[in-house]
Amino acid sequence: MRKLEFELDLEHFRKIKDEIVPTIFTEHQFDLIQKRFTNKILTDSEKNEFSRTISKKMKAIRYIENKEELFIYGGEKIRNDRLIAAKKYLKNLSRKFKNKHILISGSFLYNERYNDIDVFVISKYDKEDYNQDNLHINYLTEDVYSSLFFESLRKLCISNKELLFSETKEKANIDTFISLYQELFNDLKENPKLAKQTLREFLIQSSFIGKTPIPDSFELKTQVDSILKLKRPEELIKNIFVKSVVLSKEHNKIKAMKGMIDSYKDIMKEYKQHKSYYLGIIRGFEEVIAIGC
Amino acid sequence: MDVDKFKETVKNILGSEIKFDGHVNIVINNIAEERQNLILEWIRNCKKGVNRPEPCKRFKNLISFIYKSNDNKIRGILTKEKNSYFIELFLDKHKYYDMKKRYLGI
Repeated sequence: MRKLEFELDLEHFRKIKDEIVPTIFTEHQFDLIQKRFTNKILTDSEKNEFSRTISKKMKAIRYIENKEELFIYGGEKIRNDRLIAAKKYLKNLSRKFKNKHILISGSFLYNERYNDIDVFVISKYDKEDYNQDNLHINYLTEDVYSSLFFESLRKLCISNKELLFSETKEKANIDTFISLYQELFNDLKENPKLAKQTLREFLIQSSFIGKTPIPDSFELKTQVDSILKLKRPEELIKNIFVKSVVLSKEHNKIKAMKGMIDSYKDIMKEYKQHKSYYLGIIRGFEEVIAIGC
Repeated sequence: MDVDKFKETVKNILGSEIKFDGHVNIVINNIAEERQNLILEWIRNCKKGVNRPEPCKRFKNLISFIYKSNDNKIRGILTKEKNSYFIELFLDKHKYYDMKKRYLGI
């Protein structure tokens, strides 16, 4: 079955409103399309309407137009030159990985400078990532569709399949967020090169826990670069942690914070040499309790 | 070095009671000796108290040390009972490490 190109020139779309409303779309559907393509959050019923009615109409239009099989998300942030290049890469990759869902994302799409081109291949089986020329091929299994990572990825990417809405099933909660906070502090001390990836995961979970929109690849990169440029990134990370936990609706957060403080105090008795490091982590838990949410 | 020698060295550092979990054999068989030695060095530093353990939220009497290889492809977790002996060395890929982490609550 042919797939559609989901690129939308919003400016043009707005100009031709009189031609397509109400002939093709209702006024409400027109507004919904604008909302969707400006990355605004849709309600559950809007998501339903989008996937059940609007997507199908757009698909049908694309069939008539006989356009290429590409879908562009977050197009307003993608550089024109990179869009052209990414389309070529995606066409070639679609031939190489037959019938596989492939996405291109990352700084290649929006930054003048980039290390490599992030290519994600959705596969039934987990396989090792590898580099081929300037492409970094990452294999992801199908459960990625319901992950927070994918919720971020889908906001700014080029895909050879339409990205339908799927519910996030990742078990992110106060416990997993605390774990990421601990891991991030540890990475900043022990593995600074790897801290970038952990910080990205931390920021995605902080948005989820704190009930704010999940950042796209561009927003994430900007935040990560800004935080890691700081002399003492731990301070800002602690503040993000405190803010997200305070805003979260987790009912057991104070109990969790108290539990962590007790655990670290216990460890400090055995590992006195790391006391100052542990006290740094504990400050985040203490501040949440002090706010008394 | 082969897996048996690697495990023997780990036992010499941490004690013969240490258990192994994850795809330790595959991990050790597929990396160069230099990288095997980096893992052993990390284990020695855990024993000496140079590395920092983290609490395990799901097992209050346990603490864990985390290992990440420079290329981020190998992850390790060394668990220890508080104020006591080392229990288990886990080495595996990212995916299984995440599952183990969640199990332990780290």
